[in-house]
Amino acid sequence: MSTAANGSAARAEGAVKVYGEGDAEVRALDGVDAEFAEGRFTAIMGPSGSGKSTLMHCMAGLDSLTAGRVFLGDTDLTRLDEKARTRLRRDEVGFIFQAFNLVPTLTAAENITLPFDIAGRKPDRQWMGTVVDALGLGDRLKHKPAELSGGQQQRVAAARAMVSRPKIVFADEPTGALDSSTGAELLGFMRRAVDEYGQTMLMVTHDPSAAGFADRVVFLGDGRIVDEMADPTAERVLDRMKTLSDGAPGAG
Amino acid sequence: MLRVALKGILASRARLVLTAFSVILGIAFVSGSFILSDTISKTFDEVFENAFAGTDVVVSSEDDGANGQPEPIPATLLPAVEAVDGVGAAAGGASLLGVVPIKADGEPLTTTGAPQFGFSWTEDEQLNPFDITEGAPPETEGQVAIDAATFTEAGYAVGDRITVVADAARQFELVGVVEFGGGEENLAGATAVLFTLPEMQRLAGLEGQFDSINLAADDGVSAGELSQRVAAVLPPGVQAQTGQDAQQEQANEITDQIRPVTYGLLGFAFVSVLVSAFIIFNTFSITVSQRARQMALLRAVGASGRQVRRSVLIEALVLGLVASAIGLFAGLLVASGLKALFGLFGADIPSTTTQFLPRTWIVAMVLGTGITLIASYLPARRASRVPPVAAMRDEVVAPAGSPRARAIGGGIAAIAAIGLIALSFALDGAGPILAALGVGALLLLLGVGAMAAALIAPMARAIGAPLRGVSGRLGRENAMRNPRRSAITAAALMIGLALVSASTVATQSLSASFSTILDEQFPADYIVTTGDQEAPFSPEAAAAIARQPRVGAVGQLREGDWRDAGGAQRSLNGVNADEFGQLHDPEFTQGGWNDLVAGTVMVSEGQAGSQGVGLGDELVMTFARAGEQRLRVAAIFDESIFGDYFVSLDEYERNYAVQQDIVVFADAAPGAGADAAQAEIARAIRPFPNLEVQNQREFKDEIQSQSNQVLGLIFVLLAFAILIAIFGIVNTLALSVFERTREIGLLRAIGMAPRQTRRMVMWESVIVALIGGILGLVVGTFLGVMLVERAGSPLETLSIPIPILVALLVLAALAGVLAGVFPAWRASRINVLRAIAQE
Ligand SMILES: Nc1ncnc2c1ncn2[C@@H]1O[C@H](COP(=O)(O)OP(=O)(O)OP(=O)(O)O)[C@@H](O)[C@H]1O
Ligand SMILES: [Mg+2]
Repeated sequence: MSTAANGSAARAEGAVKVYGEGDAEVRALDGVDAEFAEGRFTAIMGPSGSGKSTLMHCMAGLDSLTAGRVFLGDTDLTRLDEKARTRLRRDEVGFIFQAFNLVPTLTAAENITLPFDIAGRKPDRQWMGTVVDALGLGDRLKHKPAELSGGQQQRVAAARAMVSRPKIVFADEPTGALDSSTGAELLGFMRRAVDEYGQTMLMVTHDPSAAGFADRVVFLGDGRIVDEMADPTAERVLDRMKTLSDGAPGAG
Repeated sequence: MLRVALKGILASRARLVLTAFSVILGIAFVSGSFILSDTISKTFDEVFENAFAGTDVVVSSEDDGANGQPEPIPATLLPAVEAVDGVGAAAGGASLLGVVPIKADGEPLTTTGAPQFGFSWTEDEQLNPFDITEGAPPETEGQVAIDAATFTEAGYAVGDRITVVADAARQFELVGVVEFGGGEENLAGATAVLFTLPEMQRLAGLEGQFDSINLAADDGVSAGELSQRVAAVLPPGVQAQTGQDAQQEQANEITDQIRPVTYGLLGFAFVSVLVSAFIIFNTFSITVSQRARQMALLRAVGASGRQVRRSVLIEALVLGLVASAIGLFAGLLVASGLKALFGLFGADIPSTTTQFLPRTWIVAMVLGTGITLIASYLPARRASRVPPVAAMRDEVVAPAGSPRARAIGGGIAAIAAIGLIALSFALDGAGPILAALGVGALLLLLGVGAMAAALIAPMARAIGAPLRGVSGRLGRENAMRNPRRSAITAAALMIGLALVSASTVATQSLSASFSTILDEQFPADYIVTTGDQEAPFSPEAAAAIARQPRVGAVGQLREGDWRDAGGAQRSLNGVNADEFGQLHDPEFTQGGWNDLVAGTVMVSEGQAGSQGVGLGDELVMTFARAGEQRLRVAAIFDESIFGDYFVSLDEYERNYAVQQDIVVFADAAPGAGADAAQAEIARAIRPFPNLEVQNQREFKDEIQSQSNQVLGLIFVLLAFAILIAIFGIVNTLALSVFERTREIGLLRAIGMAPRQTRRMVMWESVIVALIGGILGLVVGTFLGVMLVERAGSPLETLSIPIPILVALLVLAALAGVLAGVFPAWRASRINVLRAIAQE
């Protein structure tokens, strides 16, 4: 696998998302232009309510924009109907949420192959083995989610997100519910997935040290991109966040 | 706390409506059954009230005579009674059953079951229950009046010459139209033709006799006083009753006849209520566990366990009250629906103003509210046990009883149930046997219901085994994830299906048994009856049939009542032994048909034993008319479908006044074509328009179709319980879908199509329904077989109709599909973003 990151895996152009009307109107996204390169690990940061989740949902085809466009590869999501977006989520996108990622009635293995089962396709056993080994889940496959620790659950979720070789994996605060060492383990795996297998990752996080695992950090504020940073480290991100929040009242 | 409870109710309107619906349906059925049977009783009360309106005392025979009709009394009693001090007016009357008017268009006017009367016209105005509304009363021979409803239906005009079939078809001049005392157009669906008294007596073969003598008292003499004075001059066997007593007696007789129907309806209604109790219990259990966190929060801020429990019970109380009230009034609809249903099955029910008695109100409200409270008590208690600290925990589950304890309890109940059913085989008498079987059945259903939680996982796995797709697999897993919840949901459906399959086995065995008995005992080719009316008819019919060249033996059968030495009322059959004997084989153990002559009786082996008589002994029989008679036992037989006692027609004629047949049987003459013989019989009975001839196959078909009708009726009545169970599935699934919002959102987020989501819920629904269906079929077939085995004669041929049972299983699956529609739709409509945003 190459680490060359030329083409864009996902892209937003003038993305605007408005919730509500009149006085209750909230501009969750207020003209976002962003590009996420293939084979790269990008973190999105920003204060609560700045639109991180909204951006991710719109890029993943879970939600539709009020104005502007989003692309996944060359596909313009804004032109797809719900049915096509569902199929796209199934085949081209992987998700890791903060918690409750798994179907409680299914074993870890069944949860991992779920995207294939939904599509009615046979999973690629070899690739699945690779992913499971990388995540150290080999001896946990027969267990139901309730029998797994939080960290193990998130690792199963990560395996599921990657097993169908999606164009891009979206992770919304994947370590939010984990202690820092368990979180670091998960992030390490995500990093390896990018480095070794060229997986494109987009992760929302509040945690500067999590952002430190990424290749690039994009900072959101009030629905806009307010800054970005290449090759972040935890300390630099923390510094940047401080300056951003200091400047925030003026920027509003 | 009240506010919390009320908010709880309003929080989920869909759940509220669905839960309320199960109570409403059950209570509507209870209320409708009461309304219908009260209305029927009231109708007959009114009829008899009108019939006895001006009558203070009725003189009649104490006992019934021929064909279940009152035995007539001698006309010579009239002057004797008239002479009693205090009698103001006296009138003797006569009547006949099976009097059929021929409509203006030439077709006979027949009813579907209601009797067709001929009455004598009573001159005395006070004693006459009829009022002339048009024309004049019949005054001379050949004149008749007719009731207003029949008059309209037949298309007559006053002054017409009309044909009426009594002993045979005759022409009469229609001189008047009558109405029943209270302004009723007819007697609850019956038809009435009024003749002059002498003509009625002649047509009925009652020359010199009356059915009864009605008396009006002089002013100042009470009815009770008069009845005592009159009784003093009457011979033994004839009684004087006050008008009120006579009216009460007749009304009671009718009430006794409709009581089984009433009890049957109420039985089905209570089954429905039982099923709704399951639903309520389940719904409250689920919502309590879903709201466990909220309850923990209440506890954490200082509410006591009692207050939490009370908040749930108040919710149940309000729900129960509202749903019972709605159900009570919905009962009006159910009553008219049931009435239409019975009409559809050939039983027209006459009706007066709808009877909505306080008893109906009270039972509906108390039962509906009570069952809701009882069913919600356990969930409420569980709610009160949610510890306050649970508010701080992630996963909050209200503590529940141990599934193993329940399974063991259920197992014990089921074993006790089977014990009770086994015990019924050792018991004697219908009452205790039915009680043992009934309680056993109920216990078995509850026991299996309690055990069901343990059966859910293996059964769901087995049923869902062939499912390959992700929707099917997830549906199967979902059906198993809350075994208790699925179990109660399935058990609700099980009850309905168990009763349906038990009834199927019972009714099918009944008609199979009849068919076997007919084959064994009864080689007659043709059967002539009045069909549904089951009315006696003139012996002229048998005579006319016997005259046909292609007809062989013609057997006549009459019924009559008598009392044995112990005073018990019994019935016998009068037959023309020489010919009837060629058509019926009761398997004689001693003697034979040839021995049955005047002065003798033949008795079944069983009755010979209980009467303590043997061949050649004298049996003491008391008849209303002929008094005590000693008949020699001429033959003893094993068993007959017709009854335990037979006498010859000669003997019958000596003991009963009215000579009418109730059934006529015939064979084709040797060498005669079967169709030709039947055509000849049909021609011979053409003058008797209410008669019909059937060949043996048609007769069997009719018995089969009647048993199918009964089964159909039972199906419809059990449909309520099944419908409630379907609502239960809808309710449980909708709540489960709500509970799994987050999970369904996740599935949708990772690419599950709405269609797949719908299918997933559908499969869960179908699997739960099939578990209920299979359990129901197994338990029901077992109960049906036990019932048939216990019943014994005449239920001797066990028939387990596999195709119907398979159809029932398909029906259960369809019920699952139906129940799944709404929850599946809800599931597929879940907003993905909102679902995954839920913490
Ligand atoms: N369904 C909705 N209806 C109305 N407003 C919404 C909705 N979803 C999000 N918003 C608003 O849009 C804005 C952006 O929300 P979003 O969830 O994207 O923030 P976020 O950056 O992910 O915050 P957090 O870090 O707390 O998760 C917020 O002001 C939020 O209140
Ligand atoms: Mg967010």
